[in-house]
Amino acid sequence: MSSHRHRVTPLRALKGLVLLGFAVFCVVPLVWLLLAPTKTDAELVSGATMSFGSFDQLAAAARHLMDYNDGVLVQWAWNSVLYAVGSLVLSVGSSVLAGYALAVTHLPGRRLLLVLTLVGMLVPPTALVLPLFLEINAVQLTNTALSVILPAAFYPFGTYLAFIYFSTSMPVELLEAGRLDGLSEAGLFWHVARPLATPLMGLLAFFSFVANWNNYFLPYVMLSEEAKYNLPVGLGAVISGTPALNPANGGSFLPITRPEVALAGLIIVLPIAVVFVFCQRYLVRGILSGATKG
Amino acid sequence: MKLPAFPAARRAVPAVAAGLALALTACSGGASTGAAADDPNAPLLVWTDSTRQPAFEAYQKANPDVKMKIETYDSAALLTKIQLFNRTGKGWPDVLFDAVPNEVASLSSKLFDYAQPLNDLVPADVQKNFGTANAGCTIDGQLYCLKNDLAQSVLWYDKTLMGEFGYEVPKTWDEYAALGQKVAAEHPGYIIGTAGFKFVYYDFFWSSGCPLQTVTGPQQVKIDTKDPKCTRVTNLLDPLIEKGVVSRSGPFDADVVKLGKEKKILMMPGASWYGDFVFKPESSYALPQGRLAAAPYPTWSGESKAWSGATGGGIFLVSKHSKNKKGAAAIAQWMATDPGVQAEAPTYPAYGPAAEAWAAKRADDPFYAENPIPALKAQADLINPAESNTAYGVEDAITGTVVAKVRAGGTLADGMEDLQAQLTQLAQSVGYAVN
Amino acid sequence: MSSRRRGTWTGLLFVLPYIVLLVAFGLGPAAYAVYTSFVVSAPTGDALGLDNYAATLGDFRFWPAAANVALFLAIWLPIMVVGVLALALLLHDRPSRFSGVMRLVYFLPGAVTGSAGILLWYCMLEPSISPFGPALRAMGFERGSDVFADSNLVLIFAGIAFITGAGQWIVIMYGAMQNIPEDVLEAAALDGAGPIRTAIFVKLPLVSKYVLYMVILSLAAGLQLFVEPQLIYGITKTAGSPWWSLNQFGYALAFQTGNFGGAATISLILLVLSCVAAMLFITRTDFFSTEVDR
Repeated sequence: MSSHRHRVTPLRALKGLVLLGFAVFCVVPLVWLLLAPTKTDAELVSGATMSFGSFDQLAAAARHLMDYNDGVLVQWAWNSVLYAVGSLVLSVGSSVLAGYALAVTHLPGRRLLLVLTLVGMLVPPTALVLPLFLEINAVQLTNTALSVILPAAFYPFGTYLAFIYFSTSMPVELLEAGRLDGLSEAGLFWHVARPLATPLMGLLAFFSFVANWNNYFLPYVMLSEEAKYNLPVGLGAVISGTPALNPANGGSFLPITRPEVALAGLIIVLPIAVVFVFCQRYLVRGILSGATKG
Repeated sequence: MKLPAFPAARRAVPAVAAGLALALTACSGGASTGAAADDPNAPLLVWTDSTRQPAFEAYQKANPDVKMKIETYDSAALLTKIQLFNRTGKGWPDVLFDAVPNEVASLSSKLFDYAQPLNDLVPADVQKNFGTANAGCTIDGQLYCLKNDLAQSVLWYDKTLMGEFGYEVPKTWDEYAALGQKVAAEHPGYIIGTAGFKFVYYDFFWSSGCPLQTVTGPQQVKIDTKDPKCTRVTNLLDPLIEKGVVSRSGPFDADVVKLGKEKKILMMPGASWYGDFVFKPESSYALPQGRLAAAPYPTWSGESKAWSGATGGGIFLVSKHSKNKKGAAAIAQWMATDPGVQAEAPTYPAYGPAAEAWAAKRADDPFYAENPIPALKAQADLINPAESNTAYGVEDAITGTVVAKVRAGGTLADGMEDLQAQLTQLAQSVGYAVN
Repeated sequence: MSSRRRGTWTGLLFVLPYIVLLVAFGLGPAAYAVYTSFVVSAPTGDALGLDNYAATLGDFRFWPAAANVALFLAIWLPIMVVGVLALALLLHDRPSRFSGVMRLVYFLPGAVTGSAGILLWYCMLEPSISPFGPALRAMGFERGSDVFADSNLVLIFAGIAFITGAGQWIVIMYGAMQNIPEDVLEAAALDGAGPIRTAIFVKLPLVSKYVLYMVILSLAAGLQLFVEPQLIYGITKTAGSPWWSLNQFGYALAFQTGNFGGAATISLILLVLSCVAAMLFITRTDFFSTEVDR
């Protein structure tokens, strides 16, 4: 490292200030959320805002959540994993294939398909509740894992992103060279495009995972059995029946209060952070640099 | 298949109905009598909130041969789910606990077509023991639900503080207003109530009988915010709000919670559950022991009775699509009336005999300066029947008009015209004729 | 020629799974929603007509919600686009471990959803319990009702929507910039371009498709604003209303009164607006073109 790179110029200071400034708005809420389950409900509203309570409290909050209906929480977590991973595989697979084909092959109706994909993305979810439910019911799938996994496998956002990725970052010369080497079209995708698309797949897998892991609306509509709920729907059902967030609900003796709500939020967020760190490894730089025009 | 049995049963002599009821109480889950399509062995799907879930499980434990499935659900979109089930013709819960009593109007309407009339499914003496509690469940003469708990309003007050200041507990709203002016002059900073929350409807407008949900016939409702029973509320509260003795915030807002913690709440008209769940909890007002007391609600001038409003109070419903209506009704009835279950319930039981058991367990709670039960009991029978449940909600319109005005520094009266317009439209949009 | 046809057939095969999903879970349900919007339920039975549209447009809730959404878009969209690009460019200026951590930090607030999100953002904004309390009080907000005053709502929603929504796009933009070939950046450096000029004149044009994609989707997301007002009204029960935004109004129609026809009309209005805006952007750019076209 040459010394001038470390010099603090006004520009670099400003840059750091902007980046860290925004980070403050993100970190403070997250730290608050981390601290909240370590306090009692009363400490949460009266004590110092960014203080640590005690590990005992944290354990108590965890116990309150776990005790609910004999640990049905574990079942919900497992369902969440199943639904999220199931949709992830189907959605990333279908969208990468489609995005690739849309970007590099002479597909008839390509433009139409792109337009329809865009339209599919812009439809407000409220409009889809009733038709999706009727559809899933018609094939007798309501209240099954597939009722959540299949509709979530439709991933226009990913298809579009894949299309943009392949159409901006996939050098046609590379494909031509592959063809000259005698690769089939499927072989081209597998041996040439797929390795180049690792960062894309990391990105899509991450977004797909987050969207489905957090999915509330679809499972809420499709599932009516507690044992089938995912984490957001299950926790939503527990919390909505208590005055934790809505004192106007009246009384309840369930020990589900604000610290438990915060802990429930963490249970959902922490896996996302882990998956991010994992996927980050695939978002490495430079796979393409020098691959073309070099 | 659609309920062939029920109209037939209703046409039969009342004695048969009474016999049915007797058979039901005698052998719950046992042999079937009369009504043909009802299958006593059909499995029952129960939908509950998390608070009521253990009680349903207790029923299952006590009646192991009843086939039950108990599920918790998120109340926010209950009505949607019922609509979706209506489209597909299956999936309805046989027994439903609903924390929003107003929804019985929708659920029994033609559009939702869900609630089963219970007149013949619940024994007459049980219905009688509910007293007036099930008034809101009765629509066009049919009993569509059983009330779980009551949220009748009482006048909560800090007995210690009242003694210190040398004040008498008001018996009428005129006395309440006069005392408010005195507090404003002698002890500024103390409050005697709140107006900045939707509960202002239940605590004041409903208790006064201001017609916002006054059902006058099938699909007919009276909404008139210019009625003297409405204006007497704004005339009472607006000057007190102006003086600061009635807060512009709501009972759960941080600034009122702070006043509560500082023991600056002299009085608060509010629901029966405020004592245990608003004044007592460490995370809420955290009032020390031996200060809080409940008085009967003040009387509006010209009224002979001290009418309460009702801030919620859950209900049990049975599905008209159920294949085992008797079994479903038996669960609903047990949940609402069993003294063992209700004695442990968090809030005031609607069922008279169960309320006795509930009261007995609480009569000497040291938190209260004096036993609040007599006041709660007196008001339980005095929920103003002028207002009832409608297929449109009032809360959001109240919040968007009068409450919004008060919170922004204006008066309740400022919002009454908008309230009239919004409620009228809301009522018409779900098919009511407004007069 | 034969290779080209082969490519077409393989291409069709590649998009087939996606097309099935698109029709089954996107366009099919959307078409049904369009149909629903024209079905008018009368006491005499269902009929086709425009009554739902007349009722929706004449409802006292429609126009105030439309005005709210317009104001929200006017404030939030520019902040979103400029903010995301600025932060992504700054992060990409010198990729390092720091930028990886920052991206995670920027992303996580958006991952806190449901009940925990409600609790979190309320507690950030209520001066008496917020870690930002001193700052809020310094700005003259003493009580919760000062913060949640009607006139502040649009700013609050825009702020939350930015903090929870920017992270995702920063990750995408950063990923896109990772794909800019190293030699292009080196060439720019050799030409004597500083970091700012490189960012604006080299990097931005190369990721323009992603930018356009973000603008279109953000515009649609803003039009369909739902989560933030629902969240704040859900916990305060006084700030805003259940029909502050158009999408909320549609949701209230469907979910509170079972009026799916009315809800569908609002979804359709939102969809048409989003599509028109999207098409305006697309037809003015070469958004759909690929290297294959040239």
